[in-house]
Amino acid sequence: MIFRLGSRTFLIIGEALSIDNFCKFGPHNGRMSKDNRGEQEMLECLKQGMNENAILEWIYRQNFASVANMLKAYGQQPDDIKDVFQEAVIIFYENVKRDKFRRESSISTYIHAIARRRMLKRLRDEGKMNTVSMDEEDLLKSTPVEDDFWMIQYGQEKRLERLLLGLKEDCLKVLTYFYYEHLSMKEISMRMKFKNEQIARNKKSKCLTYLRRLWNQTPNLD
Amino acid sequence: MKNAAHIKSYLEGSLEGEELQQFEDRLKHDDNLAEELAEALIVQHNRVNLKDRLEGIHSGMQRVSESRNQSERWSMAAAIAIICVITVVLNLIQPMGWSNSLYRMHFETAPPIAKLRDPGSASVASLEEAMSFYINGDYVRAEKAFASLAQEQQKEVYNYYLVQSMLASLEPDYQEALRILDSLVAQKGGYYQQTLWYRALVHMKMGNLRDAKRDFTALSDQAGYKSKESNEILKQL
Repeated sequence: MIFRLGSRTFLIIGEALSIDNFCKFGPHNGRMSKDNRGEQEMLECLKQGMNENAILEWIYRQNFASVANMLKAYGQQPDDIKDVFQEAVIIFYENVKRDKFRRESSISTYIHAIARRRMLKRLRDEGKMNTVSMDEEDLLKSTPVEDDFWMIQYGQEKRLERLLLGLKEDCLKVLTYFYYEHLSMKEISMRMKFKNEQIARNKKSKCLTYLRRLWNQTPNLD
Repeated sequence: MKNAAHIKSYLEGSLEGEELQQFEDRLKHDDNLAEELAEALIVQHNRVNLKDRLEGIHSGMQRVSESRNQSERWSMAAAIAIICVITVVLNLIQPMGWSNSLYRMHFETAPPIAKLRDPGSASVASLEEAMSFYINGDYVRAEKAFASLAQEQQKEVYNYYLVQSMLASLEPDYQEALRILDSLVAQKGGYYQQTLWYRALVHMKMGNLRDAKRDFTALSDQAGYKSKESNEILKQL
């Protein structure tokens, strides 16, 4: 049950929450227990883009220390640990959005596994695999390492801004739903409150054309 | 992505010269390349945004951690300060407690020998009455009687037994007793050493350990009245 007192909203613990209310209250109301009850709701909120900041913060706080300890054991420095962990959270987030996270493990186990693979990949790329055991090399070979995942160097994001400069908010949303979250046209039309999928398809096409026109008008980036 | 490597280099700004020119020329006519660049651009834009959000969470965590560390440091400092204060207070209280028990161990009223030593000239009857109160342990009446006598005539013996009666009463006025004892010590009369002894005891009772030690030392040095006891007390103070 939810009731309001003045400007505050209270939740009586123990009541079953709808997804909407769970997303509204976030994982901080005590419903996220150690046995990860509520994870499904949380993933659903992330998928729907509801209360993302609170959920991401909860996941970050719950996992950072243990992942950092694991990475420290491989001799990683604090800045690298933070970067690897954040990469793992980003990959997790994208996999949730793209329905690639099948809930075969808990969120925590999943993020740990991604972080470990990313860290091993870094070591391999830097030619430091001799610090890694054969078992871990096998792990790296046998499991996907999200090899196609890359992130623009910190400080280079201004190039992105210039290439997106002038793109309207609704276009950015449609393209994000399509290219980043891999939503279907049906889902995009529902999110954007279009009448049908064809409108979503036309909108995406127009936005892409508009973006190309912007690039042609943009002088050389360098 | 067929053009993934080129797109990555383009977005990272590592395409240069002819290579860059060729890429931008292709971009104008190649729909596939344009769509792939759009996809990479949108993906990178969202990753950068997400990374910023995570950096914000990380900074928040560090701030909390730092403030927790700071509050832990403050708590530690406060705990140390409290321990120091308690130690100081205990150091102040303990000697008083100890000196109190020493006082109780050593204080006893002087024997009623005044009549023998000094029958007095002013009012023998009053002195006898006061002394009878004193002998019977009625220190309140004895105090009043000796005070009355002392008011009539400033004799050392009256003040001496007045102090005795005061100290023996249930709620002694140590401050007033000390004032009278100071004046008796200053007189250096027949009760000098006894007065010094009682003054030392009163100082000890009141926690004036330095003054108590001074008086006990004087008694100890004189090797006379209560010198042995004074010496023992000095060892314990």
